[in-house]
Amino acid sequence: MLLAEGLGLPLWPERGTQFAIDYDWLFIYILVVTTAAGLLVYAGLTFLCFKYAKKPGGKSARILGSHKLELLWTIIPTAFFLSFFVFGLPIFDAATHPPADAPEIFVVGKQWMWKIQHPNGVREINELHLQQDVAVKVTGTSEDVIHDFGIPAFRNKIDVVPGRYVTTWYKPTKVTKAGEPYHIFCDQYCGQGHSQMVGKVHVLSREDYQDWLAGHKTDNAGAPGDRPTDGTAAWHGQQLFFKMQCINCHNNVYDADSVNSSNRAPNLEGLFGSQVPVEGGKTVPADGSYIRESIRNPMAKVHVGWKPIMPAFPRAQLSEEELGQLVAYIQYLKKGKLPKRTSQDAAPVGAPTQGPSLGEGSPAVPPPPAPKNPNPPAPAPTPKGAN
Amino acid sequence: MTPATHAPAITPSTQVLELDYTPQTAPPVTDLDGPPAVNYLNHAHGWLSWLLTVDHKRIGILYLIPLTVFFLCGGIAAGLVRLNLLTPTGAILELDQYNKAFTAHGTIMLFLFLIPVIPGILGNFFVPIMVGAKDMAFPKLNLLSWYVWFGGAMFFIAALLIGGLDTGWTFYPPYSSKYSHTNVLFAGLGVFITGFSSILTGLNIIATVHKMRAPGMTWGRLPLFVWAMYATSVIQILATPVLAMAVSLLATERIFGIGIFDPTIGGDPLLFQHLFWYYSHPAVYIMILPGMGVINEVITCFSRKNIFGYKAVAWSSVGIAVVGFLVWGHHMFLSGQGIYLGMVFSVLTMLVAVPSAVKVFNWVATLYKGQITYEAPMLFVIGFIVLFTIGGLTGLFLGILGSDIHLHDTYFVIAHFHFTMVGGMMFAWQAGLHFYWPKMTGKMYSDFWSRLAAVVMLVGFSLTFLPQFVSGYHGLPRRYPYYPAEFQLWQILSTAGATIQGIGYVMPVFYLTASLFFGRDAGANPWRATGLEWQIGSPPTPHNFDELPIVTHGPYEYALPSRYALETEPHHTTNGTNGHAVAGNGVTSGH
Repeated sequence: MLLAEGLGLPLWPERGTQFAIDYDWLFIYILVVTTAAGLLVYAGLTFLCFKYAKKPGGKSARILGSHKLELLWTIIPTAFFLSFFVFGLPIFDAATHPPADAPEIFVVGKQWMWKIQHPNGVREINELHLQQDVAVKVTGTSEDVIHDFGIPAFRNKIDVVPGRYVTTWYKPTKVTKAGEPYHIFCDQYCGQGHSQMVGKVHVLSREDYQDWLAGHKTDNAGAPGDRPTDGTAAWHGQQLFFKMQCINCHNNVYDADSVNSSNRAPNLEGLFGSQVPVEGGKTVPADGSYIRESIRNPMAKVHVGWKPIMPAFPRAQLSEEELGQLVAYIQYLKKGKLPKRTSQDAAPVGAPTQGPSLGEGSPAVPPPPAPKNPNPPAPAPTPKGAN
Repeated sequence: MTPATHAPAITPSTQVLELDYTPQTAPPVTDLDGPPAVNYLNHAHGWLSWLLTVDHKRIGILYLIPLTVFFLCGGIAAGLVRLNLLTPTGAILELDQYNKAFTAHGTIMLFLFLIPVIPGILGNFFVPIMVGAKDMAFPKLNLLSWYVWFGGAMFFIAALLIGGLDTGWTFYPPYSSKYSHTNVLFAGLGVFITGFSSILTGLNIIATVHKMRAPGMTWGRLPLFVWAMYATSVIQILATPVLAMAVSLLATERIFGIGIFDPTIGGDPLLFQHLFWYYSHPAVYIMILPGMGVINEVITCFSRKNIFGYKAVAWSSVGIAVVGFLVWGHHMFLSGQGIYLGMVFSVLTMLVAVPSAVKVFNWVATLYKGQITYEAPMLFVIGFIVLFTIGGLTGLFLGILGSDIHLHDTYFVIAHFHFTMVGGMMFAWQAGLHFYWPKMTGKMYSDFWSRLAAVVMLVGFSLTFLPQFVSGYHGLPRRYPYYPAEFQLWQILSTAGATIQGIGYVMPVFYLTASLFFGRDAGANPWRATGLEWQIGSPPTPHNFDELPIVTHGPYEYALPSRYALETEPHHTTNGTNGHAVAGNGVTSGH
């Protein structure tokens, strides 16, 4: 392994989380057992090959087998293999269960880039800034084909599959040195630009992270202040809630004279995290995947007591990113948070997005003329190496 | 070690060769007898006599030639991939070209080489002879099988040449169903067609093993190669239809836009992965089991030993075939199938690893108290054991839920897969090819060059794939034409190894071809082996056996004095058909 160090790779890849350390212990355990097993086989093979090489006049023995040995070398490997499984289980379990209070980062894979949105609304492309010692939950999906969001330094990886939400989490423990960020790799083959669907993870100390949030510190991401400073994901979601006319049905108003008015759909307050009875007798948890499905394909699970009248919103109307913002908004909608539809400030599609602020107070962040879908530059052609 | 008893297991109904049990002092026969005057190669002439043949041996040769060409095609694609990876930004290929090259490598090697190679060539040629039959159960179906396979393969190659294919051998939608602009439909149709050949061949072999065994050839006396081919055939019949379904559904979605896998039109991409791996995981056992079968035949012969634990080895093949159907989800731990499903698949994967381990232990134990010689086939077997052990053990890392998280879709997977498929299957194929070449052609190849080739392949292979475990652990994803610069030295080592490997694979093409023209006659039994196939002439006569063989003992009685007597018995060549009934030597089987 010293050789490895001499050849450009360190002995072990960087361990950026406690999970990575736990993972490496599992890896080392399996490595030690399998290496011992392999060496045992090789030792036996070498010994027998030399000892029983043909001798002039020699004669081989007629040996048919041994039940005891067969049992022995069936049971011992089985025991070790199952121990690998048992030790591996808590590791996998830990990777799939984020802490309950972790803020959520939304990751959308798209041929061939990673679009990342922080809970406070900051958006990045192919870069991920994280704060040291703060756990974040990652919810991922894809705009097109299957991708995989992998960060080797965190020993973490998750296939992002179109049409569903997948979840993982990290709690980075080490601040990355300037100029030595961790890799983000797309690990699931996704077409021409697969190998360019890579990015960088910067883990910052608390102060640096606050600076970065405020727009003062950009690492090597570009000129200061070039990142969008619009509102939170939930704030964007609220804009969409008006723009897409969701509020026309999902509202708090009972107005018998208006066809656009209530009793056509549930008002969504406090929906997130509750159990929803659906047609067919089942009950499903109202999580991100359920809400997502109910927007894309409302007929899949119809809330008991409501008519199946909601129109579907395909991707042409609502991107994965926007869908994520809507989910964030519905998550935010606790009892009494839904705005009054009678405020008449719903901005229809196409109108400038000047909605009311989130909650009762004034907007936390002034709504900017948000560039919808910041069109990132196509992957730059990489120079060919000399032939 | 019990001395031979003298009661034949069954009463011979035909003329049986009587053997002398007194110890032989005569020196081993050195001027080996020549080929039978009339053999399967020369009894008919002309193109049509080959293209319309129903002789299982000729059909075996019909598989050998295109399979060699396909292997070289797949190898050239691999060479392009490795050359391109010499520099971090792609040394010779554009991105699309790279994607097409690695797809061509994977699909050709898997669908057109590894799956058919041993069943098509050695299975066709030797299963009937090993069970003591004159041909397959359905000779015409056997020929049809070849035509279907060859037609499908040509279709597939055409699809790769005209437009190419860039989905990887896994064809994952929605990339393959919607986004890829390459020849997915035609390539899929090629896979679909070759699948039928796989099913027909499996059917034929199962029928042959059940119905065509010679008198006395009980299940407990079947050569382990036949057991392995039997287990393989069961998988081929049960799994291949599911691949056909997956490909058909993919085509339906691609042509008609019906939502099956694409979530934007109501499909589920994981459904395809379930269907695909339901075939493709058992398919890796379709590839490796026949190779394991060959190892049994060769290691017993060159160590002059009975196989250690016949029953354990035979039933481990069946165990792999059965449990192998229940582990497909270990390819999908991280694709969103859920943790409980993942747990079930992970435990079952640990269980399917056990029979493979049992086989390795039995092979090593077979060497105990043997008289080992190291001709080329045996060197390939040792290479197989060395490399397959690494391949099997590294598979554990990937089959465990926890450790797969980081290794999923990295070079670690690539290295593991090649250790089993090339280090395992390719070396087993070389062992089988070198072991049976004298029987198939009647000619002996160069001892020196063949041993050298075995060593070159082993060195080249190790240098290619050992570094990939390291780069994989450091996170390098598979299917990357561009990669971070810190991985470059490991890629260069791999490419250097691949170059050596390439030389190793080309060597047999030359010395085996040369042996056809300049090789000495091999004689009926150059390895002094005990199997039925070695008791007939080389090359065999058109109907294999002139007299019905009567079998009274197990396949690997190398240690009995009576077998030695048989080995040194000169074969009758006077009437031009030296295939005579054998093995009625009264030795009751130890099994």
